[in-house]
Amino acid sequence: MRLAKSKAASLIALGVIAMVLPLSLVAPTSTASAASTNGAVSKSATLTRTHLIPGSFGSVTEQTVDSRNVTVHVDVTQELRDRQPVNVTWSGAHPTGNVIPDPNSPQASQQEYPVVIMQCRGVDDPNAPASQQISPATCWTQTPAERYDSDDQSFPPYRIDRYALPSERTNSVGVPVPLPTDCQDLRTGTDHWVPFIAASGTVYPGGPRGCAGMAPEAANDEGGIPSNTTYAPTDVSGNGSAKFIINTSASNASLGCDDKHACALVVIPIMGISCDSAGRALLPGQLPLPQADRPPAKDQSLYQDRCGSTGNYAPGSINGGTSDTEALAVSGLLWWSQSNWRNRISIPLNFAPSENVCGITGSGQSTDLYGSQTLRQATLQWLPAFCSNPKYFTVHHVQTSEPQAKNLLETHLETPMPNDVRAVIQAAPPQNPFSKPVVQAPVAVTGFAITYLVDDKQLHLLPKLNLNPRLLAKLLTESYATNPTISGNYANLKGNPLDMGRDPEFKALNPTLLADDYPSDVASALYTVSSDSDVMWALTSYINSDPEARAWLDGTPDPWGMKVNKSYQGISLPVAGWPLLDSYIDPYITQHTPCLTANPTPWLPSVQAPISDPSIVSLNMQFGIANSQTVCKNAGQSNQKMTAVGRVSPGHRLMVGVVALADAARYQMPTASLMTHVDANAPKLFTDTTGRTFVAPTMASLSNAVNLLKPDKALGTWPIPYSAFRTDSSGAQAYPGILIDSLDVPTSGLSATDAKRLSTFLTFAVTTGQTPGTVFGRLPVGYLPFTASAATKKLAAYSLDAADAILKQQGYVPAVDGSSKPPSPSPSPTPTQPSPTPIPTPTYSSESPTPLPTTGEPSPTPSAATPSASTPPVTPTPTPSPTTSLVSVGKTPPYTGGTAGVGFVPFLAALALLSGGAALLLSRAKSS
Amino acid sequence: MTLLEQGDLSLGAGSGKHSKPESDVVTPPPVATAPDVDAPTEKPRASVKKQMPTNRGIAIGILATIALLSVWFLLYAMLLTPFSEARAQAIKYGDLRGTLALQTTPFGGDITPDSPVAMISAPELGMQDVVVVEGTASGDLMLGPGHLRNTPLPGQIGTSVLMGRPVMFGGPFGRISQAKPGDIISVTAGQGVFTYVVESVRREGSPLPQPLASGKGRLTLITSEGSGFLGNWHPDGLVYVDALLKGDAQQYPPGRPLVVPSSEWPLHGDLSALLPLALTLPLLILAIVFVVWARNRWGTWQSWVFGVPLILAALYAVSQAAVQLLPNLL
Repeated sequence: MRLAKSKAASLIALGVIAMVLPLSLVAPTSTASAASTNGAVSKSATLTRTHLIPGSFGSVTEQTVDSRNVTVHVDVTQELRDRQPVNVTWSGAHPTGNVIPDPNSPQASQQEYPVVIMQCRGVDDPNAPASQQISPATCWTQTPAERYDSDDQSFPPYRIDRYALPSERTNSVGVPVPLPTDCQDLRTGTDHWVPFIAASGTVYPGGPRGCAGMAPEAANDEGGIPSNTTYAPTDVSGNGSAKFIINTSASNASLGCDDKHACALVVIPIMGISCDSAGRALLPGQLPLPQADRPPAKDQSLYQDRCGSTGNYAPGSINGGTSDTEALAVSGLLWWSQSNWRNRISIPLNFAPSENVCGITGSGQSTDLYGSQTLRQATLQWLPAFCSNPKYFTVHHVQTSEPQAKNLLETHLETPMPNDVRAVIQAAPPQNPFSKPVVQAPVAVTGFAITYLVDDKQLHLLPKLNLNPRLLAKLLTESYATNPTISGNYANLKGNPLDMGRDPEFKALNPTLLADDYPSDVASALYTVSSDSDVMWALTSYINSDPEARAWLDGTPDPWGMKVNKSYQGISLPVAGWPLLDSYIDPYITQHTPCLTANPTPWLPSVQAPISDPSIVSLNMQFGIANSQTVCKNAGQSNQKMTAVGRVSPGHRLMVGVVALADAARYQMPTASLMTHVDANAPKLFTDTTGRTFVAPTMASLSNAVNLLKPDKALGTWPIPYSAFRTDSSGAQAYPGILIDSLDVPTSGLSATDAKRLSTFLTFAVTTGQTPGTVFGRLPVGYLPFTASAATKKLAAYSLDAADAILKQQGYVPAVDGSSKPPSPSPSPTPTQPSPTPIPTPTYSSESPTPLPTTGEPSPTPSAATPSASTPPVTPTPTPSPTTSLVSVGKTPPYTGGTAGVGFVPFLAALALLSGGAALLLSRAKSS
Repeated sequence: MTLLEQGDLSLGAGSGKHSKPESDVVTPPPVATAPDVDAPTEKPRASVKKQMPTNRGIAIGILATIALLSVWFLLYAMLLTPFSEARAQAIKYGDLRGTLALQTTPFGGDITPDSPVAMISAPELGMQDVVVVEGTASGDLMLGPGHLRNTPLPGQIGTSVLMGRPVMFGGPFGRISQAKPGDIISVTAGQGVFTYVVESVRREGSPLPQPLASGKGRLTLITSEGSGFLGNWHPDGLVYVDALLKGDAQQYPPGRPLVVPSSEWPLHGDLSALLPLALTLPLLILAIVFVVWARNRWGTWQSWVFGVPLILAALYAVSQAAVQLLPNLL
């Protein structure tokens, strides 16, 4: 026993080597930013599995059955944010058997020798107070089953674990007292409960199906977003990798990891239980085990055989759909047992301050920016730096659909109200120009990304995916049959492939593919937003500019014979909101789906199932959750309804979705390469990508795209030249999904405070805010910094001019091609008459092309202090003489009416004379 | 042909071997039908003498119809529309008297378009007890001057905008451009009687009036004007008459529309009038068809007796719809 003690002490994992390595582009997406000090960490440990074998006369001998030197590398550990993926790689671990494709599913714990990766609250330091130390009870698992085990044998492996404390070797461990009534019928045999202790201190005992209580974030069934607890497989040479999604307190309050609560990434390479079937092991200072906790001598060899198992499956073997056939002692199920837990390699994590530091109620009134899904990641990092700086003020980004935001701004221009929209972030100029001077200042170069989750025959995610506009058009126009029944019944889609994975065009562009068993409904949809969006405008512009896609939309079948769904034939593009036009209700499906029988709805739009919130689209694409509403839940009951397909298990996925490029970069989602250039001699009926250029979103391809931009003076911005990507030789390597996010602010009629704030924010955004980085105030990944090239610097220079124009509020909009000069002797907004307070330029009198001098009094209680109140205080001047005491308020504009019909009187008179005269002449000719 | 062939086949099926002779027998009919195909080209040849005058007659008829319709519409616009406005004013005046007496004249919130909201008297501007209705679309201004819906009502805090036609429908605002600073405009609205003093008459390029002081009110009248012979009938610009409220303005409840459709902006037509136009045009056509039918049945004079009132009534309805398509400030 002494021997055991000293050996135990010497076996504690040692060796801490921390290295700062440059962040390499591990993920398939190449949009990740350049290297920065993110605190990459490598740690090594020597792990052994050593049984205690009882000998004669009470002696024990140690038998080391396995010893491995495992090195773990984590690429990012500092300034972590919610949902951020970190890449964990390791070498030297035991190869995994009974491999289950989805490492995040609770079933994956049934693998043999997986590497368990989890996030645990606390620090791994024996000197720290007990309440702050990590333990299995502070490690997160999504399902209660992952922290509970029961066994019909009296001495399952974890009960004869030589490193377990005596209290952990009893028949029932961790059972709550009193036992909740819900649990009484569920318990059988020997059991071991690992409670979860929430950050608040609440203890959730868990138990079978969580009967004794589980954290609000936990669930019995895997649904929606998968757990981040990972049971990752190791290949036969001992190497492995996993993408681990960090959860901060924003998404998991019970786990509660944030900048104020330390957490660690715990990596447990499962080695198997080190067994002590005789019950002899003792740690220092412990009493011998009571008789009841020692296996009877006659059964010891039986228990030893089970506990000492080295696995039922060969390394690398794939699970064939069975469950509960694994060897418990080497499975991931017992990650919490002391034999496994002591082998942990824990890596401290450091979190960025919460993004909502500004809160909703900051000091003073906040300035709100409306619109833009594509600038969200940038404003998430910019705005906290802004509000926390006492020199600045609070700015909020109110995320709305960009077209809606532009309409609201136009409403403000027409009728200003106290708290309405004054600044809009958009990615496309308004479809109808603003009625008053509004400057559109570029603040970021980014784009949209088509993210994908496509698995190949080996069940691995494809490293690269090529898409052309015609494939995108096929997905959007609901032209895949999605279902054999529809394929047979629906004349519109006769002869069309079931889904994109079965489309020969898709196979031709991605020759390394592909399985044939993708779920057709999921593989027929392009997941996108349902609301109007500038991203949809850009995407449909890109599709519209491609002659092949346009011809196909107009009814020409593709070379393989696939035709556009007639509901969409000839659709006019671009559009800001994608319409769901197909209305086919399949009689067979409707009859055989109880949900649809009760409430017949068209099938194909349900497959598309766009989502109103762009952030949900990116969440779904990150975790592979399909939103196609094709599952009838609670069929036949009163609460039956069609629900989403949900998470598609890895290995069989074909999902594509449209998200902001910065979202894709932040969450390291794989992004598709889009077709730009087609050689003149490229075959129409192609079998590979010969003659066709596909461009992935990278900093370089974004920069190439910026070089193509030409200012358009009429639009007041730099429109994306979609045809140039195809025709211009330099366009071949430019990413066509580029978007220029611009801040739209009126240059007349704003109060001095608003003008100064928006001008300051704009200046910040195009100067300081363009420094790449992951901390607050920096430009996140997925945006091309304005400092990148001469072309981007031009955008920045224009925005600085714009900031000046916003500040001065003289109705001046700098020309995008640099052809205009600001009004030189600027009439100061200070009135020329003596006045105690400066008079802000009233909206009513600002120079504007609208003919309506509408000065709506905004509220029954007018207040001169309201910045945008349209009745500004004026020193009463009894009879203002027109020359001397006039405040400079502008001139009456020309009318912009519909000119049609204004001159109807002369027109009708002329018409009457002419036709009357002609009739007379004709009748004369007859009589002659 | 197809019918014949089908019959042929069924016969053949019944009589086995005889099918061939049968079909041989039937072949002549197609030949026989050949003259029918040629018939249309034969007909003109037969009636050459009649055809020529008919063509010219049609042309004359079309031209004359265009001329008559144009003259009718001019007559309608210049001579008949004032009657329509006078009638509307008489009714609205009564309504306004009623609501003023009951103190139910609307003065806030979302007011039903076309309901009377105020009454203007301004002798120097050529207005005496002119009733103002809510809304400034072309159809609203057929009843009299209209109040721009996203501005306060006369007498209330802020700038209230009224628009009126200069010539058609009585031309209630035909003389406002002759206003001089100091002229008095008196407005009776739901919140009392308000007196405005004209500040300025503006056209394109004139300096805008001074910003309003807090709690004050201004009235801006808008109409259109042109120059030359019958100038106001083909306007080329807008006239604004600004008048300051004497004394303090009234507060008002919230609920005003924030924006109005473009059909209510100055010099904009109302495209939604296409619907009544589409509904009334068939009436006119039906009336004409009836007259033509009646002429053949009853004789010329009898049909005229019935036809003239019918066609005039239909024409009036069509014109009333069509005139709404024209700009509202005509």
